Amino acid sequence: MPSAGTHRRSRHRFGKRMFTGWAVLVYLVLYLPIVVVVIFAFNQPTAVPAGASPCSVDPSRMGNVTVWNGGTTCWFHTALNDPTYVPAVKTSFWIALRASLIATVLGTAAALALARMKKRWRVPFDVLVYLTLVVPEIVIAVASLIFFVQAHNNLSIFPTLGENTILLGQIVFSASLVMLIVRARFVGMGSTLEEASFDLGSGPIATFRQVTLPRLLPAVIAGGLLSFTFSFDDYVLPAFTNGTVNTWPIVVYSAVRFGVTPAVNALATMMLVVTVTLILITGLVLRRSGASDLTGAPPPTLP
Amino acid sequence: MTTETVQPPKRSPRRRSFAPRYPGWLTAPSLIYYMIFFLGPLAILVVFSVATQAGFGSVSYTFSTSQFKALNDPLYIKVFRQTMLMAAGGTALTIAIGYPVAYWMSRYLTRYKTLALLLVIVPFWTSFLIRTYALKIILDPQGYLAHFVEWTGISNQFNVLYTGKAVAIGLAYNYLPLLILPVYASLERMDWKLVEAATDLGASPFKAFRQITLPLTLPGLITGALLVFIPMCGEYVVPQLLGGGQFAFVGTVIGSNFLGAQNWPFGSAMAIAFMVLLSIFVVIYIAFATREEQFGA
Amino acid sequence: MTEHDSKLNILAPIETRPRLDRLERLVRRSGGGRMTRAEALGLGGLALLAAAGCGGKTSTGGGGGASSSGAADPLAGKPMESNLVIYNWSQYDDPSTYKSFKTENHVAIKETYYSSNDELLAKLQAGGTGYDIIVPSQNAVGELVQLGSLMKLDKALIPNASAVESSWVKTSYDPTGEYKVVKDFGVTGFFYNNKIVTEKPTTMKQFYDLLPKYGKVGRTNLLDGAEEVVPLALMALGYDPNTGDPAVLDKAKSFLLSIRSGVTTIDSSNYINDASAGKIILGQGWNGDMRRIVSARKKKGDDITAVLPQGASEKWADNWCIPASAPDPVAAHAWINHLCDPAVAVKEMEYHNYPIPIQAALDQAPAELKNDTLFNVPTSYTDHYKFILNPSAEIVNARTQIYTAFQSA
Repeated sequence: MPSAGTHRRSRHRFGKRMFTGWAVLVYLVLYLPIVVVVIFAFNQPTAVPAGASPCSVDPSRMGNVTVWNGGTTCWFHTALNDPTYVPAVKTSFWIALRASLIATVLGTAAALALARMKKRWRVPFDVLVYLTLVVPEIVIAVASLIFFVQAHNNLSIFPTLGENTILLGQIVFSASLVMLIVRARFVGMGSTLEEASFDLGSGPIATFRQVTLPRLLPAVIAGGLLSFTFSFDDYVLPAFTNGTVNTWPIVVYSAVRFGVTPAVNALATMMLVVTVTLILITGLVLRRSGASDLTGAPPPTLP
Repeated sequence: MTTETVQPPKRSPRRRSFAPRYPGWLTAPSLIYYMIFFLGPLAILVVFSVATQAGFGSVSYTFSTSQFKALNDPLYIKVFRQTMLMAAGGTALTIAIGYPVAYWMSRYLTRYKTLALLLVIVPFWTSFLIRTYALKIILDPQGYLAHFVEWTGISNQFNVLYTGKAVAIGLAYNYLPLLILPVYASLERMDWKLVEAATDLGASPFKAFRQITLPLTLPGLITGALLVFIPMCGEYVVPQLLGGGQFAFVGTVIGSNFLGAQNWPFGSAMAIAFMVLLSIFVVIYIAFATREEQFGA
Repeated sequence: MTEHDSKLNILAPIETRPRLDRLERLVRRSGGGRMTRAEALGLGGLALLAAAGCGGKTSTGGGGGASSSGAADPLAGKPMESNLVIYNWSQYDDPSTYKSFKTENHVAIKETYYSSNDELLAKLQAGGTGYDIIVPSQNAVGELVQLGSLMKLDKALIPNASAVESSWVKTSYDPTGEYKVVKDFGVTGFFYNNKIVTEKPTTMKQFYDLLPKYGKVGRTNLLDGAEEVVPLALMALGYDPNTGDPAVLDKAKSFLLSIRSGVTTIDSSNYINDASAGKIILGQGWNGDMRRIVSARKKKGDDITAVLPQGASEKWADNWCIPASAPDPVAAHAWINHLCDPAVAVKEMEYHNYPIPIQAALDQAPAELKNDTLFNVPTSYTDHYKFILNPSAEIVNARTQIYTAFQSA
């Protein structure tokens, strides 16, 4: 008779295979549009005048770039040299970085305090947080624009429309995001370990640093990543509160009217390559150094 | 194990959950922040919603409920209803696709968890618009996917683009990380030995899931579902691109009124009515989460 | 991007450049030795002024902002700023235009984009400032004029603009002609797949009537937005597109709802690519876009016929305007002047494929453009076409409501 252990292992393997199969399928579907984007970064216009570079064709003469017209690599060069693309990407990146950092700090702090607060204080705060998620973005965008203009006119401590107003508006949504994610994790974490640490004489700060934070880290990082992604890809809010600053989504959206050229695809491809490379390098570095991977699980070797 | 004697903290005789509390002032920064940068603009909206339009983009500051009354029209009620249905469908699809992935990441991966997590997010660092265009190309009735579907006989006509299905697919695609991440973060605290013990004792995997995993990780799932459902209700770009502009959702109509007609009072009234409606779901969550926190783990 | 050049920025039409060069050489030689270009031209300009007396012809152009007309000229004598902020559609102007302007005027250009007129209007209304140049369509211009948000153009600073055809100066949406210079114009028509659609529609009404039949066969498309859908339907029915008469609007609403089942998509941004790929069998379109679609389909069976409707349809214009709050008005005027230069205008037309109403430029346009009625729309058509305007908030609201009902049906 096979032992319970064998049964368990085979069930585990079966479950693992099923779920892995599904996950792989989902990842494929997730990356399919990305693959399409990358492929079309090499696309040519429908008709290229003889002797001319495919990328020098005016947008109005490009024909249909959503069907494959043959390959070229010149778009990468065009994209990098376009005076608006790379600065816009840089701007988006710095705004997203600052916004997500601030939002993560604000949201985590609030989550920690709120999770165990008396209901009397917690409920109004919760309402506030959810309100920020419930407002349609177009509405908060116009309202924020009016707010910032009036605020700056009356109290010059408020910034003029520009990068800072964009990130100030984005943090409202991102902080709520982080708060909810961290709190869900914190609540489910249970307080036993913390109590134990407390009982053993660790002060609150040491407890936080050594017990709570490591276990909370997946949620904090998840929240931070989501905030960054939201901020980087945000169109509606920056479109209204940007003043004269261009973010990457603004550049892309506004190009739609006359046709998105493959140069945009080329830049998106380059960004993808950079981020994937960074992730791989970070992963390798972390593993080499034996640091715990960011899930909070301790490294495999323990004294 | 230390042998130092430590004074145990004072406790009341009736032992209740004694979790170390974090000081309330930790909420102060976010509270102040919300008050200025959220309540400020929101106050403007509220003022507009009870005002009346006085020409393009300008407002005559009165107190009038005429905007809200104007909403009580079969047209707008239909728009609200269509929107909720779309968002509900999109959310269901997102959960169906995303929950298993989060589960897989949490239970079956050990060394590559972070990598898997990041790989979910990386596609969303390309521009949303480009991604949606790519989806359009993929879902094209004369594209490769269509040919594949027809050839394998799954369906004899691949007419997905510019229908509600395309919108649902587009929504699920764009909101997937927003569901996977919170669910993953919550699933991370699962002690899988509990499940193994249960199945050893004869429970089917489904039962073990339903009675152990699900209740323990419900906060994360509900958070994810709400984080997906609520913004979906306000969406208007995806329905425009993948739905061919045929659907009038709340986001679209608010956009038309705010931008196209520059009718800020009416747009604000619609936005506020919409927010009140969605807050009902929020209230349910808060009530639920409160109970969960009392039980703890 | 600012070349750190001297502060004197010459505001002069492009043809005067050789003359200015000669003037500079002259003054330098007589001045003996070191002089920057600015000083040389400045001195030379003063000399010319002295020689010609005030009221000299604008074609000499030297110096800084010498006024030629006696009329009130608030910007006279003001030096050109070193920045220019343009708020525009993306990819709407030839990159060489920016280059040539920057080279001549040593002005740093910053451009930011919007993707619809509505965004532009909403932003300006909510208090967005800092823009020198905006590019509103005619209905937006009308609104902005009503609201007093636009700066009156100083004609002395835009001498090239006098070449714009007079019918495009004082228009229904800018009756005094002082608030805009037309950037380009176009008309709204429709196109169909001539292998599938067997009828030969020639009016907008016929187009609409065909929709229920062909909506089942393939994809049909209408241009989106309340400000297009409702007035176009009104014109097809023979009414004034800018009417506010509730009874008439009701008729338009019922008409639109009656053809709704034949409309597959309502979209103005993506139809160019899709139609070029042969995916749309019957749809509305702007003439420049239709031109692109027809030429894209030429090699694929030449199956698209573009139609400029007989009878009533829409003509529209995108316009250069300066907001009243513009921080760099002199540079802004210089920009508009630059764009009215026929040499620059021709390049622009080749780039975006829409006509600019400057005869000298149209004459220089390449034959393939000039002889194409989709580019050079004959007045026999445009005489019957009308501008769609936003006459009042009530009318716009009524249109929006009809549009919402149409979309959600």
